[in-house]
Amino acid sequence: MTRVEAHGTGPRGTTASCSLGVEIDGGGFVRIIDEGAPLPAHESRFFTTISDFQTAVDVHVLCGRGRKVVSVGRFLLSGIRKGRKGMPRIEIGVDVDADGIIKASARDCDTGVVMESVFPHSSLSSGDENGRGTSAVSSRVFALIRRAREESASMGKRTHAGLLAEINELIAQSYAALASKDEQRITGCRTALETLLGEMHAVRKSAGSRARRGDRHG
Amino acid sequence: MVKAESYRVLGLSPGATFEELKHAYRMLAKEYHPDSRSGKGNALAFLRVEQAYRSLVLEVKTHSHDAADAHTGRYRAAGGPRQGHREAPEADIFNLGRTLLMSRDPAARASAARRLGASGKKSSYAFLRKAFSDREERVLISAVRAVGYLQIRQSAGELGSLFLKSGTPVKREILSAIHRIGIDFGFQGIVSLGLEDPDHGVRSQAARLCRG
Repeated sequence: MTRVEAHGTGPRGTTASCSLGVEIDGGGFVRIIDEGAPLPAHESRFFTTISDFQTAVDVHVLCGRGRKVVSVGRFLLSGIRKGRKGMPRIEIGVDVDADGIIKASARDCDTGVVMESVFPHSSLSSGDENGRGTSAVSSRVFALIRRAREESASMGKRTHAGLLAEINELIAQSYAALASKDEQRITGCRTALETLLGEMHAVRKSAGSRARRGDRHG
Repeated sequence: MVKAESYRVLGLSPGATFEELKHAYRMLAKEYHPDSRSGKGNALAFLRVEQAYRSLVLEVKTHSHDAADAHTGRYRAAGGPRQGHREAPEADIFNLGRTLLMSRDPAARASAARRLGASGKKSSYAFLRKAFSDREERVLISAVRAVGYLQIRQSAGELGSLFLKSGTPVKREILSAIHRIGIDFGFQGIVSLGLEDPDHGVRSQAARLCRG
């Protein structure tokens, strides 16, 4: 994958603790969101393929802090239009919300296929709250609990009984962890909450795409 | 047959869940069945698989009982068998996750992945997704299988990435996981890669998934 041009700006808020971007052919790091950018942030850049008739791109999301670059995660966009190298246009978007959850997406502008992955904030190996005590992590966990409550309220009680029960249980555990003031436990609950929020996002999205399936395959 | 030997015959390690046992037994029995079309038909091997399964089935069925409860959505915190458990309830998942990501012993990592899969907790995916970069194939296979059991829908992109860089056994495990989760939840891309795979087994498994 290689970059072709820059595009897009985001709204204002708190700031990103590290820069986010993707790895390109040859191991380079292309920034999509800059360190210190206001949150929530959404930016996107256009990339293209590096070999002829390539039908899939492996998107490796990276986070950079100063000179150090760490892996956030990777995901595959498959089903891109077969063409000469450099012809397909692939838009990579990175979205960081106010809670620090990272959503990365890739879309082939020609075929319209989209793939997205939600990564927990804690996938950035050194958390930005390190050294700032438990209070910063705790306030994040409170925000995540509120969000998990709101989002689970809109989900089908019967179809997703298992997931909803797990969320309720986790919320109770998170309160217990907050009360214990044990930073490790709180951080663990934070990652678990973020992971379940990612799963709820995927569940809601697939419910939507199932309903639209008729016209998508047309 | 000694228990350890039985596990070995089935390619499992102690601590395997009932689901895993059934799966391993079915795959091997099919492969070695004297009438099998795989060309590996071998009555003696078939018999050994049969014996191994029989010697383990009772024990495994009982000890993975808790896990089966979790699958159906019942939770320990709501008054399960471990009510008197002292540790924080989420600690099980965290400890397994730590073993999965930190242990130097591949067998311990693979076993942690299996137990996360049997936990019924989708939040295990926080650890399982990180195990996708493990160097040991058996750890990858266990992690992918766990993702399938837990029916993690957000795994499509990451499983795709793993599919692209993996060998045949992991690819086939990914397709099995997709079968459990449901192809419609964003997994069509992986299946279409599977249809063009150089390996015949991967291609036919992908084709079966397409037919539904």
